[in-house]
Amino acid sequence: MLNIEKADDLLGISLNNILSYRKMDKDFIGLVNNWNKKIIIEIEKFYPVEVVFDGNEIKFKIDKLDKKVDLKVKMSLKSLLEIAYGRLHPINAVLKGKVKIKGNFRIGTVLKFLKIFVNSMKMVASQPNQNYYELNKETR
Amino acid sequence: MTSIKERKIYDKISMEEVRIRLEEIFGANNVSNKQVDLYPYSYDMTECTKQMPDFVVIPENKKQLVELVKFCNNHVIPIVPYISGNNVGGLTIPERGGIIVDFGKKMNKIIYVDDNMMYALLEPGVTFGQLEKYLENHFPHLRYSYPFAPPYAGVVGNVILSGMNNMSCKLGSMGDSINGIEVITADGEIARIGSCFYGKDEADVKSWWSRYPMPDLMGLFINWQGMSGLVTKCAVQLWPKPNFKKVYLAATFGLTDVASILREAGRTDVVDDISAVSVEVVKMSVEVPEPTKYPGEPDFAALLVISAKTKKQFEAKKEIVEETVDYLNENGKNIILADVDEFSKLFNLRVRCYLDLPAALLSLVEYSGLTWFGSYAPSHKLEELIEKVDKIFHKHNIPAFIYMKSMKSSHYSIFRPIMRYRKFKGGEEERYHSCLEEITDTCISLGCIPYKTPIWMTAKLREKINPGWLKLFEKIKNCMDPNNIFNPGRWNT
Amino acid sequence: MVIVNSGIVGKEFLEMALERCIKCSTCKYGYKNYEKSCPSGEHFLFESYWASGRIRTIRGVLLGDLEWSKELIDPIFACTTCGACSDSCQAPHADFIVEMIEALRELAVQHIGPVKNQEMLVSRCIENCNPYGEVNSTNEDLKVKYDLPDKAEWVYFIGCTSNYRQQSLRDATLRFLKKTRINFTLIDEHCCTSPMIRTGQLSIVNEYMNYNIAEIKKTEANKIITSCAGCYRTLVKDFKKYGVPHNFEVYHSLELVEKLLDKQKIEFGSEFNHTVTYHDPCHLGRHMGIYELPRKIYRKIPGLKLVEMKRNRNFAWCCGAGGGVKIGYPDWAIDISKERLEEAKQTGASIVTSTCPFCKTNLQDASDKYNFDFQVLDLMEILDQLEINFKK
Repeated sequence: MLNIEKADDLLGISLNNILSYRKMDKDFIGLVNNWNKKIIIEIEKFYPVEVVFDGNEIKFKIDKLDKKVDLKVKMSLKSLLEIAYGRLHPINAVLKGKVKIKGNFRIGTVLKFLKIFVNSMKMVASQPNQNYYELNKETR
Repeated sequence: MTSIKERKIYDKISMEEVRIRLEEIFGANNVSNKQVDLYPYSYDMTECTKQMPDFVVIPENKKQLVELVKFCNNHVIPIVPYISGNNVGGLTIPERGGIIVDFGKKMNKIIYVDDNMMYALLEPGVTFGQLEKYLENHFPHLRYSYPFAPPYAGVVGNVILSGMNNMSCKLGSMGDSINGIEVITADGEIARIGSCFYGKDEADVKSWWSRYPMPDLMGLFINWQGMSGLVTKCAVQLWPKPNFKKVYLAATFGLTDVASILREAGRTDVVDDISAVSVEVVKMSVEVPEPTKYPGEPDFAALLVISAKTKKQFEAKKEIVEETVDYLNENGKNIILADVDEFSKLFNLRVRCYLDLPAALLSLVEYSGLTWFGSYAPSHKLEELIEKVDKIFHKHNIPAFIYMKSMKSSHYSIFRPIMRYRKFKGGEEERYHSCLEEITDTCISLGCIPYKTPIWMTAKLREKINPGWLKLFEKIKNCMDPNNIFNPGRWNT
Repeated sequence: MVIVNSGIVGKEFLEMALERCIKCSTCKYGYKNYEKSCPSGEHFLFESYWASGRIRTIRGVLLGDLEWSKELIDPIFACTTCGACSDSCQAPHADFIVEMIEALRELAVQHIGPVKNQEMLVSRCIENCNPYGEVNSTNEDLKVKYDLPDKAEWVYFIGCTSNYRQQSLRDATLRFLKKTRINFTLIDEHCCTSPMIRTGQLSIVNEYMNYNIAEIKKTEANKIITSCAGCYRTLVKDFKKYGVPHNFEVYHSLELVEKLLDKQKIEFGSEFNHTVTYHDPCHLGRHMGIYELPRKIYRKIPGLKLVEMKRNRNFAWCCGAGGGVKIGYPDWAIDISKERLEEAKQTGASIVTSTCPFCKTNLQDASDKYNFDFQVLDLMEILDQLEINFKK
């Protein structure tokens, strides 16, 4: 099972929400477990957040970010929503410069990042439940 | 036992005699003077001092209330109206003891809804949830405007205390959307005010369509906190439900930038509602009870509600809002606009309670205490208010919970710093009250006018209000209620 | 600083009453459904009879604002602990409101005692090991009748209501279990202690829980099955809470039925041509979150037409029997059921079904008293009327 850190900053809360969706999914666990990477995500106007994949744990850092990371990704909130809701293909987004990949990255890392984040975002975005209290009825 | 203020009521008539008379009027099952039954009415969520009532009664109709009022006026026994006690201002705490009239349990009928003239005629105990459900089931093409409050708060209480709801950028104060009321005055007379005033007996349910144009007596009962009479019926306006409705989130970076979006978007005249909360409140709603604001986070999140009859109209309104945001950004503000349905799914669905009013909002119901400085505010002072109040919160080490609205196309605003706290944790209530007092002094000095005021707050207001107003207020109160039986003590009467 | 006596089992829940609850009144109605949901509040009306009012009573007694007296009895004990308030509440203490009320009762019993008749729950148990005061059955006769071994993988925990008041339900379950050929047995049961826990009378709870565990251990069973929602809830949740944890897997009989249907181990060979409406027992529904499972089973029964009452699942109106109300306020308990049956009548159903013998008892009592002409049947009784082919 994955342990995803419960954050109290806005982006960390969002990332926890997105990644937790597939927390029990075997395929997702397989993807994430022991990936051991550090990714910095920057949403324009917001602060950068570092996502640390460490064994079966996912943690978030918002200060004292590591200088050496495996990947830096920058986009606007608008682009993030467009990708999540299927209006913008992530590869096109990169090609059009709407998603900027920075640093000495490896293609494999980028592709896995897309598999982990983008697919998770899309799954969360496509769930039909709009209301928390209905979602929560049988499980609380 | 809670302290009981010294009064002379039961010198001339014994409590036992009062109990007997009340049981004659209401029936034994609808009257109680058991301490355990009185206790929940003796205090509310605020830090206002507990005061035990002497009786609680549950009325079924206005005939019983007329008898009650005559009896109480005769014997100078205070009457305090109660619906659900959800006001954040101690308004239902019986300052001088007396009789709590609990409208919420039986006088809670939706009497009539007029589809053509779009109003609902209600008894005082009708709640938002009840009205919402009724409209959904019977008049799905009509809508009402709901506050930042739980479903079990009272509709009539909200309107006669000038509440602000989720269509307030369009409509202004809810006090402006009352068509008529029926009241019982201190002498036991029943008066109907508004277009329903025709007819010697009961008014036709179809006659409650306008407040005007007769001499406006309604002002004698709006915002009077139950001090001038008992409201037994109220007709509130309804509105057509639009075919298209969407909510946008405007995240503002920069402590006071939110004031600009509130003003400018309000002035466009295309937005139904704009409400803004500090980022700490967003976090409170997703189970971060004592949040911190981190550098780089937006300072405020505003929700802008746009509705329209047609898609074309909607797109046009949306364009105007987007242009307004662009204009503000070009002029040095830092605002991001996003579709809130899309944002909330990725962020955390729990925030959707803000879109789904009336709702039980975690940010309000977290602990055992809630208090606030809820005020009408001059829009041009918002930046200063935000800066000063934010500092006060931080000084007292309390998460800044600021709630604001733009009212009636930005004619004025609502400014509401809110505090949740543990009522019974040693020293906490005093600490929060101290913060609230400082906020009150600051906001009043900048021209804010609190609504739903606890008596300590009205004491501060009285020091600032012009003597002419105070004299007129006292004259009217004395005229309307010479024996001061209606919610005595409020506004320091 | 308010200090609660550490000897109170429910201490943390009493303390919670000081930390939480602004009396927003969301507990009073089904959340977002706005249907009446609180039998106690709807009947007695004063604030003290709703969940938020009871929380205020806790504060009152802890802070010394309210003195212990007999006038506190009704506000404290006239509540079925159905959990509707808990389901509606959206605040952090929502899941603990029933515990708070039970803790208040525990405290009240120490000061003023329970409702008069509720004392009999304990005195009868002391004499006969069951709250009905019936001569205790060791269940040996049933073991002989159904040819059950002393040791087995499963124990069928009958429960006092099934054993002494709803024997047709007990026997229907026994016949079903026999036909499934699962390896089960019975024990010499003491009351599961649910009635005592709900009424704050905890003097025999620990002893009885330990006794039942010991009896089950003697059979070498690792699974418990019961057809009583109250026993189910108690075995799953309360044993641990009251300091008697166990490692047994606990099942409600409908869980076994569903498993067998899913694996196609049972096949219905006849039809049940009736219109049936299902009443969600509070102890299975709101307390344990089981709503869809019974419905899945009913829908698989050939000929059975399942119709829903207006208030169903987590919004279900309580039958009125629980929380000590059946014995403490017998007339009111039946009146609560009457309201439920009026709702059932609207569905056009001729049969009201449930998965709790206590619900069955009270609903049948109300049907008889008010001439509703309903047949009230448990799921196991319905299955007992069907031809069922059991495959190996």
